[in-house]
Amino acid sequence: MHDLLADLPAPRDDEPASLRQDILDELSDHLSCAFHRELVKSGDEQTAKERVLDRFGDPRRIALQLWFQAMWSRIMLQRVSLGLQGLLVVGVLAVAFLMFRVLDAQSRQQADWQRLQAQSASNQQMLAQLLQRLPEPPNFGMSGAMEASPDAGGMSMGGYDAEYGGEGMAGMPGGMGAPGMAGGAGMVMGAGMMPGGGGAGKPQPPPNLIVHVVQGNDKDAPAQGYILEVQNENGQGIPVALENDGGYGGMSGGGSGYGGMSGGEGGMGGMPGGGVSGLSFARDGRPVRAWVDQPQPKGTQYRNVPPGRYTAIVEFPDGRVGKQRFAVLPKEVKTVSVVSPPAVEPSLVTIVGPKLEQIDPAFEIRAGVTITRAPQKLDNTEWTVKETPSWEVWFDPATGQTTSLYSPAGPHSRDNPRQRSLTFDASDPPDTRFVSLKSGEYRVDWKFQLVHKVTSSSGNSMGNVKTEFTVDQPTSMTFTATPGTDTWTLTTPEALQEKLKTYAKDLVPQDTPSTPATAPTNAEPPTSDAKNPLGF
Amino acid sequence: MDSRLLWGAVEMLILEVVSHAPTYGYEIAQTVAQHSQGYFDLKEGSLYPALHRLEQQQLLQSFWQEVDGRRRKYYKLSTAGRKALTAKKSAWRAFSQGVEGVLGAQMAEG
Repeated sequence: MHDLLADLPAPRDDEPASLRQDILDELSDHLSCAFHRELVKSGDEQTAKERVLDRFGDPRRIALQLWFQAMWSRIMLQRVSLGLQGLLVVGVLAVAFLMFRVLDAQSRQQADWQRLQAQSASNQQMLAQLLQRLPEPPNFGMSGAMEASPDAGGMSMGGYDAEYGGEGMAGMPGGMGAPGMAGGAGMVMGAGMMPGGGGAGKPQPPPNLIVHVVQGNDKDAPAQGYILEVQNENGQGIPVALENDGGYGGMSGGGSGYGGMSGGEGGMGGMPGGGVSGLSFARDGRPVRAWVDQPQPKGTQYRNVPPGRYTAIVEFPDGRVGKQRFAVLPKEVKTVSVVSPPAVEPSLVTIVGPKLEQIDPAFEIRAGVTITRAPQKLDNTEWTVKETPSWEVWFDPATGQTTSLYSPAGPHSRDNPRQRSLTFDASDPPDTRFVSLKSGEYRVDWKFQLVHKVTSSSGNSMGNVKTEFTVDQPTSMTFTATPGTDTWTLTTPEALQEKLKTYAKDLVPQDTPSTPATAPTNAEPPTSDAKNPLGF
Repeated sequence: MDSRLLWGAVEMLILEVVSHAPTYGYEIAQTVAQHSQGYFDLKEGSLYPALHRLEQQQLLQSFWQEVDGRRRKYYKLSTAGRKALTAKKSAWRAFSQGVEGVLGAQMAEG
């Protein structure tokens, strides 16, 4: 009888415990009753059995049908549940895949960002190197320390020249934008390094001080490429107005305050564009020095400048420094124009001295000059040029060629390590005997020496004794050094030649010893009654 | 006889047989065969799926009893089954009368 259940599926966990037995018992009861009936009819078990199965049908198929009928709802529920679980798994996998994609995209973005940061750092380094290559940046009011600040993503320009009051580190915030960054901005200044704020929307009073820096040859042409600072009587810089309706050209603060600057397009792949591309800050965070690299037709503006005396200081990379004093009166909107001289360039000047007639074989009159760069006044601005020391040049009285150079001019001493000296002999070609100057005007002052050639009793040379002197003649001249190479030819008027001989003769001792009692050099110039300044 | 017509009537016949007294599968098959005078020549096994379906529809109730050492499953009509039987019988009679009416009229004309 248990064969009835042979076709049933394997028992399931959710199957009622009595289901199989109930099916078996019900069908077995029917078959037993039918068997007895047929057995009574036929008397043969085999025949009875065959007739029972013939009337009943396949008991196994019926048993399977009943089992499915009982389990149908559970099976379907399980299938639906499995389907839902499958869908859930698919959904979870899909979400996981999407999350993976998102994370992957984020990691790629992160990698891109890091690459851009590295590129930015590299650009900053390049910028720093480029700026260092600018003509004499160390003497440009900044102490030469331009350093990349990777943490701030910016660049700080350090140092204030002592001449300007010794302010400390000043920041030029900003990181160089990599090519292709948003808007193609060449420079995106790093907010956060410097105080932000000064935001848009806050009404600002109009400026009451405007400083124009113009080129000397054309007063309508604004200059560019300079640092501007306005100092009060105490030598403290006053802050630049940051938002001046585009007056700063490339400055797009947009509320980012001191740190907010963005460069223009192009320009060395991210060099700052715009008018003011950098600001230096005082220790209290005020932007006091503006690096103006493009012409500013509206000038550099200052707000809330209290009445008083001020000095506008303009400094160019080539060393030109202009200072103009002015006053801001109460309720006055002051406009200051600083007229700048032409740019200075290196000038190698060969100086040809005069040939001098001598008075005595034992003495030699030598001519020399002191070359000094004099301050230049343009309108109300006094201009000087940094790194232009004075020179002292001496000439061979026979040929007029330069024999020695000293810089800076002054007492020649071994104790003065800063003084450069150079002497020439006959083997040095004439084109090496130049003086390194910067183009512009120089004052040239005569000076003379009487050189006593000291010899021993045996006639051997023992050296020279030099006595410097001047004559009471106007001895100042003005020469202009032109860019490149130049030659100055110095002549002495006949009257001066005569005076020289007279003065020199007065210096020559009446009884000339072969060896001087004392041999001081570079003695004070003799006065008109000085007969024997050397004491022999 | 058309099997669709047959199986539409089988459930009603089962309910009718069970309605008189609790009974079991073999007896139901014998009763239907006996009363129909062998007209319903059904496989006896095919009654059981119908019985279980009626039980799942709660038209029949079941219980077990031990008879001659064997467990036997008895079916009895539930209240819902009685209502269903009444409705099925009414529908069948209406159907039968309708069919009979049509067939009787045609025979009278013939």
